[in-house]
Formats: sequence, structure tokens, C-alpha cells
Amino acid sequence: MTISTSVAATFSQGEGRPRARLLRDRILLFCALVLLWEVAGRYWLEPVWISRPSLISERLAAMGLSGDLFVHTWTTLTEASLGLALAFVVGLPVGIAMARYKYANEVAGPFVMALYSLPRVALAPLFIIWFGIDLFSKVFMAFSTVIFIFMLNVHEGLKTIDRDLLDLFRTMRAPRVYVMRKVMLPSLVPWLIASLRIGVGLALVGAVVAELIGASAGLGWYIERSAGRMDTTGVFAGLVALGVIAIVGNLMVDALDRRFSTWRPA
Amino acid sequence: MTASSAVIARPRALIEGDSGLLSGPVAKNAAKASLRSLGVEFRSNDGAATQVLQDINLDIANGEFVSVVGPSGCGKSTLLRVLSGLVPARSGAVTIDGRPLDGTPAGVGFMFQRDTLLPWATIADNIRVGLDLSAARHDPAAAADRVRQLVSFLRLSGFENHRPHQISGGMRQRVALGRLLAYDPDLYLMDEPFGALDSQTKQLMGAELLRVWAAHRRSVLFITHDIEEAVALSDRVVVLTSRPGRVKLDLSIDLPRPRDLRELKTNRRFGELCELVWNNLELQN
Repeated sequence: MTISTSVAATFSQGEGRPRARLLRDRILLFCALVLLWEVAGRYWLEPVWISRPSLISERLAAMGLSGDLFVHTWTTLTEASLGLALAFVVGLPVGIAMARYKYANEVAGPFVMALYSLPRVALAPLFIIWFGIDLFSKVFMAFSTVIFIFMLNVHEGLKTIDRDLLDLFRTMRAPRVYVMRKVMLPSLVPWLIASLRIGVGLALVGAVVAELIGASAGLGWYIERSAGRMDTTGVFAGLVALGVIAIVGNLMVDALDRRFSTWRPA
Repeated sequence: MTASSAVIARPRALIEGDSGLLSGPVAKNAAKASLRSLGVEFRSNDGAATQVLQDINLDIANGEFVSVVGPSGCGKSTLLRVLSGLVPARSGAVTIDGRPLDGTPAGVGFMFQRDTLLPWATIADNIRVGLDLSAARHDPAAAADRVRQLVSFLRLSGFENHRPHQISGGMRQRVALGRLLAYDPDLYLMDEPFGALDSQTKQLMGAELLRVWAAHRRSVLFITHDIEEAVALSDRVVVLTSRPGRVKLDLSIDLPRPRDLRELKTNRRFGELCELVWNNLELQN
């Protein structure tokens, strides 16, 4: 029992006070930057170039009241999260198959990498032709951006599984399903969380890029429309909303990370 | 570290309190595993073959504790891997209970130098793996009961819900031993299981292993590079030559049991036997 308490003590140290300080300093930095921006927009540069935080807040408040903010945010959020979820659901088994069927993976390898390296932005017009300008072209765009992250990470994660651990389960004649459940999937968790972390941002990029090219709603569409009217404040309002989505997404990944990584030494 | 040693060092009768924990002794004197003119070679990617083991003849009787020592790289570990079906024999015959080895044999348990625990699973769940995969079927209540018994038998009480990274190396090896006991094989293959531990913990773990072995007398094939450990624990010590490994010496250890590992150090016969093994060991450079 002595060990357990001392371990708990070492782990909880470094939380409390430094964390509060970090938060305080982050808020201070944020305020300083916003203030600098406000001053620059008021006295040094025309608002048409960089707008002003005060104008942006006003716009966001107005959009919030009219319900536009909700509509556009919801649209983009739906597209990105459906794309992300689909990439997870498809990427995990494909990555497992890549590790399982080594020869087939070697045959397909160069083509997968070619697709991966292709700027997916260039595919957006094609997706719009295939799936129309509504939800599905955006979902597919986000999916096509993120799927490779899951595939390649899962494949890599399976390659780095402890050989001795697998050998041990082999000597105990463990059924394949048991090894999958007890060894493979748990050891993939950190890789999946790392993929999610990258995937949240990439799915947003995919959804917004597709919106820029052809859409009837969404934050990307709102930014594109505002830019077309030289409405810099509108552009920044859209960007702020996207930033908030990205931050919330990352916080959710952090929470998952904390929930599932208790077994890793700090 | 200190806390864990203190837990092990608590004095106790040798086989106290574990009756019924493990199934009864197995009939002695029949060969559990037998190797006849075994040869193994590894083929590297460029096709070159390296002879690892050559013409190995070795019998392990039921309930016998056999250690294998030899210079590093002599194929000691490969010997275990052949018996567990992880590495194929190129020539010769391998039988377990008189049956030729085909794939991964049942009733054979492996323990590595590294603890190879599931890092995300608790101590209890790690031991539970052995039960899940053992030949005997347990209903959930019986399984939980058995895990509790093993936890207290290995003096891990209070740590059931810890993860491997929160306990000491010696305790982790006891968890691995617990998993092996839960699996309850007839043949224990142990590849330098205490090799990564400090000498004090190693000796305590040796005593622990003897306690377990005395309780239910399974066959053990124990790989080590520590001569004193081999002599102290075993009924027989087999010395291999450097690569390709052949049997250089097959020595019966005629020290009485039960053995007190600390007292052995001053025993004259023990010293002579160690000396004999030493003299047959080809040390490189």
C-alpha cells in the first residue's frame, strides 16, 4: 500500500498551482493580442484589411441573434464530424487489414501513397459533381482527408506491437479474437487518439474547403461570401467560429486521452 | 522496491496455505518433453543460414526442474522457442508427452525475461488472462476467486487494481508468474525470468519459484546465465557450448531439498557443483 500512495502523490504533484498559472498566462496573452489588434485596426490600418475585434464581436452577436451563427456552425460541424466518424469506422479495419495482409498491402502501397499525397483540394470539384453541393460532398471531402491518417496510424501501431507479447499469447494458444480484444485494440488506443487529434483539424479543413468551392450554407460558405463582398469582418467572424470549433474538438480529444491513457507512465 | 521486498521477505512456512490452489502432483519419471538430435538454423534475409542448435539430446522428466546455461548467443532461448512451437526444428525429433510436436502444444507455458504484462490492464486482469486461456473452464465467480487466491499466494494483495507501471520489477515478474500459474501448464518454459532483476530480488524470486514448484511439481525448463541460480534451483543443469549450441555437460544436482537459497551459498557441495559448471562454460573474449 505504501507504494500506491507514494505513486499517487508523485502523479498529483505538478497539477494544482502551475496549471492555474498556465491558464492565467494564456488569458493574458490572448487579451494582449486582441488589444493590439483593436488598436491596429483603429489607428494604423484600414478595417477593410484586418477588421477589428470589436466589429467582429458585434457581428458574431448579431449572427447569434438571427440564428445564422447556429445554422452555419451546425452545418460545418455536421459535415466535419460525419467525415471524421466515417474515416474512423473505415480507416480502423482497413489499417488492420493492411497489417494482416502484408502482400496485398505491398501491391497496393504505391497507389495508396499516391492518393494520400494528392492534394485532396483538387478533388473537391469532382466530389461536388458526384455528391451535389449539399451535405454529402462535404462529408466525403472531410472523409477523404482524414481516412489516410487512421489507416496509416493503425497500420503503424500494429507494426510496433510488442512481439514478445504476441508470442506469449501464441504459446497460450489464444484465439485470434481474444488477441484482438485483449492486445491489438488496447495497444491501438494511443494511435487512434493521435489520429483523432490530427483528424479533428483535417476534417474541418476538408469540410470548409468543399464549402468554399460550392455550398449553400456553412462557415466556409459564409467566409467565401463575405470575402466576395470585401466584408473582412464577416470573414473574421467565420474564422473565429471555426477556431472555437477546433479548440472544443481538441479539448474533447484531450478528455478522451486522459480517460484512456491512465495506464501509461506519466 | 523496498516495500515490495518487505512483502516477500515476510517469513512463512514453505508450502503453507496453498492446498487446493493448484491441481495435484503429476506422475514422476515419465518424460514430459524430449529432444532427439535437434537441429535449428536461422535463415537471414539474404538466404544465408546460421546453425543455432546442433544435435541436442535432452529429456525433461515429469516434475523435473532442469536449467540450461551457456554463453550468450548459444541458442538457449531458441531451445525454449522450439518447445513452445514458436520456432520450427529443422532436424531431429521433439516430443511432448511422447507425442511429436505439431504447432503450438497445449499445456506449455512461457515466461520471458521481460514481464510482457498488458500495460493497460490491472494486476488482477493480467493474472486473469492465464485463466481465460487455460484448458480448465471457470465460471466468472470461480475465476475471480482463483485470481484472488493467486494474488494472495504471490503476496500481491492490495495491488490488484494497480497497473504494471505502478509496481516494482520484482512484483511485475510475480504477476507474470501468477499468470503462468493461472494458465496452469504441465511444462514451464522460463527464459531468464529473473535476469533483469537486482540480485536480492532475484534470490527472493528464486525462493518464490521453488515454493510454487514444490507445491505442485510441474516440469520446468529454466534458462539463465547465472550459474549459481541454475545450480541452486535445479535437479539438473545442462551446459551448452557456444554457437552452434550442443550439450556440453548434463549435470545432476544432488543437493537435498527443500533448499534454503541463502544457506546454500556456504554449502561446500554447492560450491563444487558451481565450479564444475563454470569449468565447462566456454566464455567468449
